[in-house]
Amino acid sequence: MKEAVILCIILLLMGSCIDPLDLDIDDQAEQLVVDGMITNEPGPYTVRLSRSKPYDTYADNWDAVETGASVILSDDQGNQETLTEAAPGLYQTSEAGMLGQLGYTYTLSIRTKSGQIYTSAPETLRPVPPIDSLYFEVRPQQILNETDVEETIYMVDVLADVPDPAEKNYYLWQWQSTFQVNTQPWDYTEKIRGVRVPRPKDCCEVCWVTSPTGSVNVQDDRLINGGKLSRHVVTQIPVTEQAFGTRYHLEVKQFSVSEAAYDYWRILKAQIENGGSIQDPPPATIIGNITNTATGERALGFFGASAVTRRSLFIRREDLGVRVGPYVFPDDCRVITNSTTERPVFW
Amino acid sequence: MRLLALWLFVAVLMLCESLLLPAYTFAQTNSFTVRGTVRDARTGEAIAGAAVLAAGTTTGTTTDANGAFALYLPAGSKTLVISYLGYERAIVRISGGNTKLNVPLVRSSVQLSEVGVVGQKPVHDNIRSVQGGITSLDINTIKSVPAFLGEVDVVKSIKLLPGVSSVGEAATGFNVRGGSVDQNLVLLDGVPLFNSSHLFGFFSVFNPDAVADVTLYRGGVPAQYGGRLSSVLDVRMREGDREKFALSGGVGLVSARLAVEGPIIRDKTSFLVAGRSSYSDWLLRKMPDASIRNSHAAFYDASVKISHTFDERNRLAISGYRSFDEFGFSGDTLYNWSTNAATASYTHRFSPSLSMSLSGVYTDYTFKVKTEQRMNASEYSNGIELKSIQADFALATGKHAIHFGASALDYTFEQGKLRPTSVESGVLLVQLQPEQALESAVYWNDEVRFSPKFSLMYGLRYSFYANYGAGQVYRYQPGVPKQERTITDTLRYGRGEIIESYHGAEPRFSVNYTFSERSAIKLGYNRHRQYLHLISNTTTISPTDIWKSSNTHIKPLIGDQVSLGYFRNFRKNTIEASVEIYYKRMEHMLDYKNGANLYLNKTLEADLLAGKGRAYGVEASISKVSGRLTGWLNYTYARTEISIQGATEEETVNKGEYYPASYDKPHTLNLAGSYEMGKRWLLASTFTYSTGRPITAPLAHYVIGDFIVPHFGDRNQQRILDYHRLDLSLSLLPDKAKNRRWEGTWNLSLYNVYGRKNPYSVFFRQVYGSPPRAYRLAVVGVPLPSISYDFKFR
Repeated sequence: MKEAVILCIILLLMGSCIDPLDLDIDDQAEQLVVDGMITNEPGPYTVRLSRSKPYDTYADNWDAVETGASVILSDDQGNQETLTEAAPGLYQTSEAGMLGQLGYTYTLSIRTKSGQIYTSAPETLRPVPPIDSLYFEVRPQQILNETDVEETIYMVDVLADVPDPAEKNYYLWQWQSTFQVNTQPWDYTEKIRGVRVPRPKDCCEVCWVTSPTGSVNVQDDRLINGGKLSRHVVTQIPVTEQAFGTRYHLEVKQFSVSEAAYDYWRILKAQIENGGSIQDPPPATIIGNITNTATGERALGFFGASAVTRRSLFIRREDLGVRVGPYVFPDDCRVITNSTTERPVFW
Repeated sequence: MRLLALWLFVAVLMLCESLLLPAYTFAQTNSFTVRGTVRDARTGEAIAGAAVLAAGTTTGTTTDANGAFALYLPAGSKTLVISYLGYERAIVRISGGNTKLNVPLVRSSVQLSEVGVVGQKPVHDNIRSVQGGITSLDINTIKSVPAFLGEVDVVKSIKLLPGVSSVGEAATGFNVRGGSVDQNLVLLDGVPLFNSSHLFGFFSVFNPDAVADVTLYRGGVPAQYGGRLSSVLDVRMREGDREKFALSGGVGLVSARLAVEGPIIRDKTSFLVAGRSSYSDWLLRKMPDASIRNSHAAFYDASVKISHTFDERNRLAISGYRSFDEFGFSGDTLYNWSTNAATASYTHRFSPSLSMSLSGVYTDYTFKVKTEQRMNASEYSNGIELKSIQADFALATGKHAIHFGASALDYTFEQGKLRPTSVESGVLLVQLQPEQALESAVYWNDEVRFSPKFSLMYGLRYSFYANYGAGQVYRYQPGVPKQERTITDTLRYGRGEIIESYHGAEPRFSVNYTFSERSAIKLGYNRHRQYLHLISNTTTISPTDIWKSSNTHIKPLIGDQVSLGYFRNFRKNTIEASVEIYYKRMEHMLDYKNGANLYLNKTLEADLLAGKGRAYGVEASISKVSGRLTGWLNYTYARTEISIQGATEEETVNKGEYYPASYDKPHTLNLAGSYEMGKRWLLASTFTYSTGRPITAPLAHYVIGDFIVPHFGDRNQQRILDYHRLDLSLSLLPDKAKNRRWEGTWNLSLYNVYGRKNPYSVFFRQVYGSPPRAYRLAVVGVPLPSISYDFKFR
């Protein structure tokens, strides 16, 4: 990726440019998309069914959900469960239903409303080592702001050390970050008898804002097998006044994934992060593990089985070692996207 | 083997015939023999390939590698015309009897030819040479092509020839007749170069001050050359002046050059030292953008050549070369690549008709990435090293111009190495086992001029290749795709032990039938074997690519090419035209599995796929070689397709059907012209058009988790927009009338005159709330002016 950046700079010097382009691409049939996973944590487990959309349609119009399908999850020990459609296109196991077990092999089968039958390749739920330690480091980074002026920002690298077992292992990380927002209720004023006086709202001074995993993070142990996966960068968080007003919480989930799942996520990652630079590998079809039993055609997506281990970390503003200024929030913090006034259990 | 036997038989037959020839000629009492040598008047360097023609007849020959020729002439011949590209034509009177001549040729500089003189260039190659598909450019022609950012560039000029294309401005290398970039043997004074680009391919590594001439063989490759499938680009370095010291150089927007040459021992030993260095760093620091200001980009190259003449029979030439490139971004990661090359060649003449040339070559190419962040301080490197020796014998007897010899090349492939560079570094040492290989070949090549109308070149090269230890080879479970987890066994080989070997015959022939002095038809067949592979899965070739040996899992490439051409000259040979068609079949072409990982991958073979390739096309070209207006127009229709049909879905691309290679560009049109205005002004222009190259485009998109994922269709089924570009340049040449010691040439050029945003790559991106769209990256999206100044001082 770095080469790409450098190359882009050189290109910039030569008056190169990037602009939109119209290409004629034939519309394709809408393919079934399967997105689901069973873990060794208690359910319910969710499988999402949808359809792919032609290249130039709006991604926001998700009328693409696949409803009315029959979805069955089964393992190699003879257990099986039919998932119920909790919301359109969203199929779930029951609370008291199946629980993922280490060493078991899971298969998903789907019968769509139109009668097509799909099955997933069997996936074995393999153990995952714990995260030995989760910590962070702050480093400066030069960026260019909107007006092309150089600016130093700080990045928090969240790092994990993981003991890697001797056999081949593949890892996937997901995380959820939460930070607290304190608004300035005294800023809210009302005119009382012609005079503006502060009228703090008592509804919404403190909120917690969450954000989901923003990128795919997978790793194999090819280079360290049996050693220690050390200083693995789980995620990078820019230090902003918004996020680091008080403290920042990050919960990291580490999944064991199969080789097929690793390949799937790795190629998917390359695909969604492909900047299209000259140095990027050419794009390619991402082969999942769902097949139409009658035609042999591939559906899109993957059904996986993973063991999960979790670890979380608080990053306090005063531990960053860099100055973070105050930020003026809307006085009703509930208007912030993904925010809640309900204090998270871990806070 | 039967084929081999047949070729040997033919070779022996031809040799016998040539030995009997003196007796045969003896019978013709009226005819006589002229032998001689053609040399550069200033440097004394032998000129190979010069045309020697008896005036007023169609009898003629070309000089061999030592500049020697022997010509049997009918009685009454009085004048020989000797000509060579880039030199003034020499006319030599001969007396009747058997004569021995020494012909010096004077190099023509970039200067305006006198108006009205027709046929400055030889009645040359186009019709008379046996093979088709060969183009020679001398450095002056290359200099007259409008230059990108004022940098005279050998490879950029080559790309204007028929049958040659490239994927765009920043593409390293070029593609010849459907061959990938690694299928070109790029030679600098006989030394193979493994990366011929500076600055990611914007410029090539050849310093124009040090180059004498350039020959591109895209078909009809003689048996002396081997090891690559598609072409040979033979760049010859100039020798220093044997009489006077001279200084030459130039200043452009990107780099400055300087060359010094002169005698060490007058008339015996000469030297040439030429260097070039960029000052892009200085330019970068002037940029308003901070991130650009902090980045670093630089290159340099330097060459030295020393030639010594012991006596008329013995000559020695030694040359050395180094090229270096470095890139950095905000100081923490540096990329660099470098080439070192050295060669020594000794030529001995046994007799006027037999000479020998022995040469030894050393070259290495290294690519490195240095990371200087405290905790990750590391250095990644890969590269290739080559040592070789070659003995070449040239025998010219009567109708025959024979070359035979042998060569041995020893390669070391550094597959990749990552090492920590500080104690605190968290990086672990990873080193892939280097591969070693020995490639050797014996060859015989004979050019026979049976009659003025009919000539034949036939050659046989037999190559042997051995990948040897120390090394280890994985065995994979049969019947399933190769993967790290399907390894069943590891075979270990000791030092020097042969791991895998390949060998095979590489026959070739060309036939020329000349209807008249003005037209000829040529038919050629070539087989080549290539044992090296450049592994890359980016859309274009990049310096991060890895050179790899053929081994147990990766088979050598084998290519067969047939070509047929019709050549015709008009207007007293001032206009040359040709049409050539070719068909090429390639075996074991490599492509990559989806999502292949090439970085420090010890099971690289598991990410590679091999298939069949085919390439075919028509090349039509017309050029005007003399007069005030010179130039050429050529059109190429060329297709290159690959089919990969493996045993499983993972090992098959596009269901096994033929799909276009990523550099497949069906239509290419090149127009290059230069016009002399008055005595000192030269206006030059080039126009180039080609079909956009294939890409793999998304057909749909879908949602996985929080991500919107594009769904790509089959490989290389869409194309980016067509490429076209017009360049102009205007040069002010030195005043020839005043014989000054200082000669300066100003050059103004405008690249991409109408500012077309030629897409270099097309990619797909979605912004939140809108569907993914295609975007293009245009490398040069605006007209790019530049100015440069070249000088010569004697």
